Amino acid sequence: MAAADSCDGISTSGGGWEKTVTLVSSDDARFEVREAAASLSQTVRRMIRAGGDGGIPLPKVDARTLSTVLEYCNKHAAVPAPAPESSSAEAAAVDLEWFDKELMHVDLATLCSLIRAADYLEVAGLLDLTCKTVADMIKSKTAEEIRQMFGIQNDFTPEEEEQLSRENAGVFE
Amino acid sequence: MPPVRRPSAHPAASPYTDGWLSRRYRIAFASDVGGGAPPTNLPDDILFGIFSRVSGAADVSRCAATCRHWGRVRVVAARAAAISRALPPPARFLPRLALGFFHQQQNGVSHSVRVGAQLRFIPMASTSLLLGPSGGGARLIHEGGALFEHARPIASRNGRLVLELRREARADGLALCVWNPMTGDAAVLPTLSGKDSPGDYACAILTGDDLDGVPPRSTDFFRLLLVYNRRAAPQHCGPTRRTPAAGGQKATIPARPSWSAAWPTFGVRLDDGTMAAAATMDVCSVPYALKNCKLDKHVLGVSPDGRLRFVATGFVARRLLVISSLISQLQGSVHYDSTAGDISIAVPQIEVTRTNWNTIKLRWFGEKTGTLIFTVGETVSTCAIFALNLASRSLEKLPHGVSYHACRNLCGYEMDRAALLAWLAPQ
Repeated sequence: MAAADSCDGISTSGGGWEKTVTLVSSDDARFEVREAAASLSQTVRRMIRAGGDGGIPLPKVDARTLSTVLEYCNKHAAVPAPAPESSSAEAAAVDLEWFDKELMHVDLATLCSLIRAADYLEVAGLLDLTCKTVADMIKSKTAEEIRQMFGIQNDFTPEEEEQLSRENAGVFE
Repeated sequence: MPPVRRPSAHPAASPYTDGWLSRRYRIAFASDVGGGAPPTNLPDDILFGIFSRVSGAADVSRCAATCRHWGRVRVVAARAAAISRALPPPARFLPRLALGFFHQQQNGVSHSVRVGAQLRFIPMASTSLLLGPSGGGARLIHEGGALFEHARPIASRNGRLVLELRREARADGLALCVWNPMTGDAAVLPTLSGKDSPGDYACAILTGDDLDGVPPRSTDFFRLLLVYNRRAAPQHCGPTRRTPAAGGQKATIPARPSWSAAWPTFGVRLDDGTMAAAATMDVCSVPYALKNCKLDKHVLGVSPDGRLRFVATGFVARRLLVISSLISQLQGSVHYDSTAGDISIAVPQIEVTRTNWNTIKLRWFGEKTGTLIFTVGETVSTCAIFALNLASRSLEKLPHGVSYHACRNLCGYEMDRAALLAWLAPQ
């Protein structure tokens, strides 16, 4: 597909010509990625269209987070769209699901920076995946457990807190 | 002459924009608001994204209880409606969402004239604790001012109450108002007059909660379904003499209110959230197992699990009152298949006698709380109002002082889930 493009790409990869772009993290690490993968980010896609050289600066994402985001993008952009209901499509979907699950095996701090990056870069699939992962972690936890998870300071008076937990218990039993 | 149609009223235009929710904030959490930076480093939009993906309202309310920032106006309370819509539908009844009932209090003189009758709210015991000892309802209605003076409750679902505004003469046409007592939003609909003016009519309300798939264009979305004899076209839908129970069926059909007249029951399929013309309505009959059940002895509603529920009353051993619920599952897009009852509750507190059986009437069914409101007796002195919860099986006798005639204009009220989230979110 990319072979038909005009070949003004920065480099080539794999068997055919493919356009790549360079992304620059907040700590000046440079990542060279296929344009198809980078374009999963709407923010990057807009910047590619706007043009410019010397790499695309992403001042809100550090290298560690960006590498994980790009891992996600590479994997998801690599999956071709074969005929639906074929066995290979099914296998690819299972593989992708497995990949996503593995990618989410990180601590909450990492997850939060991934969410912020996905939000800033507008990678819809990753934003959904990370938010869902955090939502699942919250499931059935008490308010105090959630505070501990996120390092939230309790700013209620003891009376207010008692009223809140009483009401919560009263409604949901 | 075609009826003059004014543009639909916008809630912002209502004279009354206060509700129980704002009152709660003033009373319960009037203490200082702890300032400072947000305790978590996730922006509000992302927190909203997370709260919209949790497993249910219980998770959201626990998140709201962690700190002021998460719970307060910024996240949960401010976006309660959007979060509520994003969450999966609740799987069971939540009895505590029931608040009480609205009715029209007669001032004595004449029962046949509606003028002079006042709208009143009677809270349940648990509600009095939440809203304050005076019930809050009287003040709430009072603050509604002239709009609610002499208003008659017509239908109530999903946290909205449909009121018929003062109607001095039939020829004046019909003015309806949809009011959310929790938020205070009130929308007055264009008056139906001329040949569109209904005589006897039945009314059902659908809200955003009833839409499947298509998100409503605004959180204030609602839709009223009126059934009446159109004067110019008598072959139109037949009238029903009673406010129907309505419910959105969340199966293959986006929204499907249904109700029962004397015997035949029919459902109306509304295509989607867009305002379709009346001509596109698809009306079908809804078969029931209990076809001979009298009008006053049953009510219909859709329970949180999305199933059509048929709540009926009867008696066993000559004197024991029994309330039972049958569930129906929508089969395909054509008919309902009645199945066996799943709830049967004996009410030994009320003895059925030969004289009072005919006076036992089911009035309203709260679909989110499983609360059934029914009345026993037909005179001022003997009429009693009860609330029975199908989930907790608790029976509550509601305060006296309501005449039988007022009972005819009685609508229970329960919070919707968006109001619940905002309610539980601390300031």
